[in-house]
Amino acid sequence: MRNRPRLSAPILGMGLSMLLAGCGWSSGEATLEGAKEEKAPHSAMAMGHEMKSPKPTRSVMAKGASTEVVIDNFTFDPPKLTISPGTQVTWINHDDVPHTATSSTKPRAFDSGTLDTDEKFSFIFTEPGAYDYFCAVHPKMTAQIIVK
Amino acid sequence: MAGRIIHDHHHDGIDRRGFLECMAWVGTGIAWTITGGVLSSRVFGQDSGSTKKGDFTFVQISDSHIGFSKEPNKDVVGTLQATVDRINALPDRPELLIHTGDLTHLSKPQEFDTVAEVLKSAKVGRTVYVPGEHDVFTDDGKQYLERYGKGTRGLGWHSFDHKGVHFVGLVNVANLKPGGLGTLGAEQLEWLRKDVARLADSIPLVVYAHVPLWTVYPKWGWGTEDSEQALASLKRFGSVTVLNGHIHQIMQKVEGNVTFHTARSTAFPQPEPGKAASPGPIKNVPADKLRAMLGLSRVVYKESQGALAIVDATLDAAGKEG
Repeated sequence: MRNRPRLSAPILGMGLSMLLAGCGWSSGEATLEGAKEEKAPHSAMAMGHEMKSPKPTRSVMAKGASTEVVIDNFTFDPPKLTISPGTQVTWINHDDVPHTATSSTKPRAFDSGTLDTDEKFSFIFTEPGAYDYFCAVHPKMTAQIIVK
Repeated sequence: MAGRIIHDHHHDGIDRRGFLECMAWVGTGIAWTITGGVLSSRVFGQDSGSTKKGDFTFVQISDSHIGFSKEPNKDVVGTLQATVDRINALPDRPELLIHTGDLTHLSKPQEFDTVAEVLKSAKVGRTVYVPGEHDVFTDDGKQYLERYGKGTRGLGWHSFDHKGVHFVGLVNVANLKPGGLGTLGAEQLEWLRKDVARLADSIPLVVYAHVPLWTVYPKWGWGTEDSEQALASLKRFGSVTVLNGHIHQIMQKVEGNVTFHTARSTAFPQPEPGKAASPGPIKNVPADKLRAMLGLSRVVYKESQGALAIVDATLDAAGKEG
């Protein structure tokens, strides 16, 4: 996981502003610390074994759609979301308690880490498949993303 | 803040649920006494009998959620400190303080630091902890174990003896499975079985864990998947007291010789099962009512009776025991 996923210009700009705020990339993963953070999206492809030259996500992003999953009242809405490859999904937590959007598989296909109130996490799904996920704090909260 | 008794063990027709709610609002409580596996209750202030040398008290606090800063409580450090003040004002110095988890809200180092700082001022003999999911979910419990893992196993489970009572701290917030409840896991269950195997049936047991070890409300995750297996190891004992947190309200249940009790939070109340869309904090609490919904549990052990009495108290200024 040493390779940074490539980021689109606006997202990179956001990342740089976070860097200036004293936060940094702790590793190849797009993880930023800080209140009200917006975690940079990273692609499923970048998480795969072809780590030496991850396929650029920029073109996918340029063409791809984006959609949102809202967390409210301990529920992912929509609980089942079907998207086409290359779509960026953004989770936003509207509850007063922290949640996560964590892939149910190990190793995790994606994991938002802590999402406190109004924090967001984005992920670009490039590989077709069914992605079950849950909240690692409240495991009764489960949902699914289908990429096809 | 509501107390709920699932069964009317006394068959006396007293609506303990309504009674407990009423008492909680005025900031007092009820003492539950187990004698030979039979539960009886008494209102504060009634004569609780003579004291002997083996008698001691300990307190349970839970769900401090240091780092939480929203409605209905923007000062969770203040209410934790108020809890410690209540403990320090008790007539008998508690020999133990048990924190049943969710010390922090987001497992941040400064949140752990604050908890340690506030609890340092508690005038108690010894403080023990079990983690809640909020203490371990960001790093699989690494920070928690660095601070509280000494002398424990796994993610912090442990046991010890104190004046003839055997205490067991269990961890049911690790390796949570999608769609599942709290989990103890095979390794911990086997450890528990062996841990209590050497004890005589007459030894009183106090078992504490964050998530209830009985099924309170599975839809909200308020229960532990494999608690039945843990309870099977405890079945032969004459007096088992199970103390939990997680649900931020008092609930009690008795099954055979086992009394289950959940403590209030020191931070914010949560709704009664199914009484809200989600188990999130109750937000619309008037400021002057909040402290009547937060509190601590004090447990009095009477060696002469082999009994443990649980006394719940709120942080309400009017909430004087006895």
